[in-house]
Amino acid sequence: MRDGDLHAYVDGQLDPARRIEVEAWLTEDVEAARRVQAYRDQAEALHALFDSVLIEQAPAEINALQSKLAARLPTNDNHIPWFQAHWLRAAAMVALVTAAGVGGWYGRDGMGGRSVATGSGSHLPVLVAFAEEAANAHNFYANSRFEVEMGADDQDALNGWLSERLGRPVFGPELTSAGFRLIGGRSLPTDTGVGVLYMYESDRGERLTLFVGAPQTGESAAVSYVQRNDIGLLYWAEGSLSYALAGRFKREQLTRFAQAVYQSLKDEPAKRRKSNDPASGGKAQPPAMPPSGTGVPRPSAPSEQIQPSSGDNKPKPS
Amino acid sequence: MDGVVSSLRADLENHIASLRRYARALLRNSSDADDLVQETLSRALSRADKFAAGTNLRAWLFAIMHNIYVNQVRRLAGRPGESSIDEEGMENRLSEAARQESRIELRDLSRALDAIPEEQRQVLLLVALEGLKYDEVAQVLGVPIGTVMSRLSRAREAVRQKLSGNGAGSVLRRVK
Repeated sequence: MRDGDLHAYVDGQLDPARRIEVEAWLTEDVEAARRVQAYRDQAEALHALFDSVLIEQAPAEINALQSKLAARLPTNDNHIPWFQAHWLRAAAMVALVTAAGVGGWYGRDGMGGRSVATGSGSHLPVLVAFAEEAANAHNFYANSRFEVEMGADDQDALNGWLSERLGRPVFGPELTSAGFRLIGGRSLPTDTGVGVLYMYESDRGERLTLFVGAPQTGESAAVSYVQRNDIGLLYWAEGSLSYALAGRFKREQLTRFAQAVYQSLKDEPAKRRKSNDPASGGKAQPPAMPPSGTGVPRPSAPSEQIQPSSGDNKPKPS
Repeated sequence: MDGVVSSLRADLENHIASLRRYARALLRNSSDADDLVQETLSRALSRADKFAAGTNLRAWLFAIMHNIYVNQVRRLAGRPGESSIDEEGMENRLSEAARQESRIELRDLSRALDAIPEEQRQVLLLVALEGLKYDEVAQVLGVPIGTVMSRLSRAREAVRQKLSGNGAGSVLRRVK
């Protein structure tokens, strides 16, 4: 057994026949097996260290160059098949979440204080506060009778209204690929400014919320994971908007949903640009009164607004 | 044709994400890293007609970046990570609490990476982080594949030794 075979085995660069031989050998050579494990751990930790780059928005200059380059290159590249086209980002998301368990640079036991990453910039405390609001909002509204102010029957109207509240265009991402349908949304006054909460539901009645706001984070920030009691959150900032995806899910599940969010955020603006400009009026008119529960009729909804019953870190109902 | 064009776009997007990650890992500073990627793409654009259809776009892009890095960045930049703000940010991030399941302390890995020779670090990152094939790495770095293998082997062993110096065996459960 050569040293090169061991590395090629770790790196998945052996042909199948040789791989079987190496595997047989590894069952007998404890030290070699230990090395294989160590090298795999190294690779995993490298991903944990650096994969956050993959889902950070690239600078505009790089995006512009990318477009120009795509137009100039001869097209007969050794292209990745279409079904692998998004492997890289998907891999990044998976690795990030793995990192939450393996590398552990994220806070694990709550979002307040020192348990949360206080990392690479002054914007992070704001983003952490934003995530805190998102967790509270999920906790409070996911099982509330007043889960939404406005239903998703007319998504253009919903998006238009919430865009108006937020002061910039926003929309509820399409998450059917992740098994969730949008049931509505609401706006919330929070300590980090107006926030918009989109509520999703799976066929099994599980709730997922996407909280969108425009806190002054200063810059984009990579996806972070935190857990607050049994609610998991993935949150990040991109452009002027910050996002927090929350639900009672395992990290891996949440990551899968975040991929769908990310994909939709990436795909949708172009589609919607024409039809959903809140400044241009049209269908996207805010309702005079937020129609509580519209489109999501709930039996015997009480007529009074729910007030936060205790604690001061619950979001104020708008 | 549409399918081919759009797959090239998807490839390019993935390659650029990969270039950005590699640049970040080399330079440990996001703005320096993105400057390097930007310069790489500018050069790729100016040489786009020299790229042969059907050859390896990823290796071509990484090779351009490697040349810029070797000829310009490294000369100017000193050791990666030294006194860079991002590095401190990362250290902070990595110093954060509870890691019950941790196999490798990320901060220790970060230091181990800094401590190994740059030629080994590049090979390790290209293989273990970016998933390049050995022959691609050879192409990118302009060295024989045997050199790639020996650098890879030395890099992995060096990192393993440095990490195991901090704990017991390959599974590290540090108690601070």
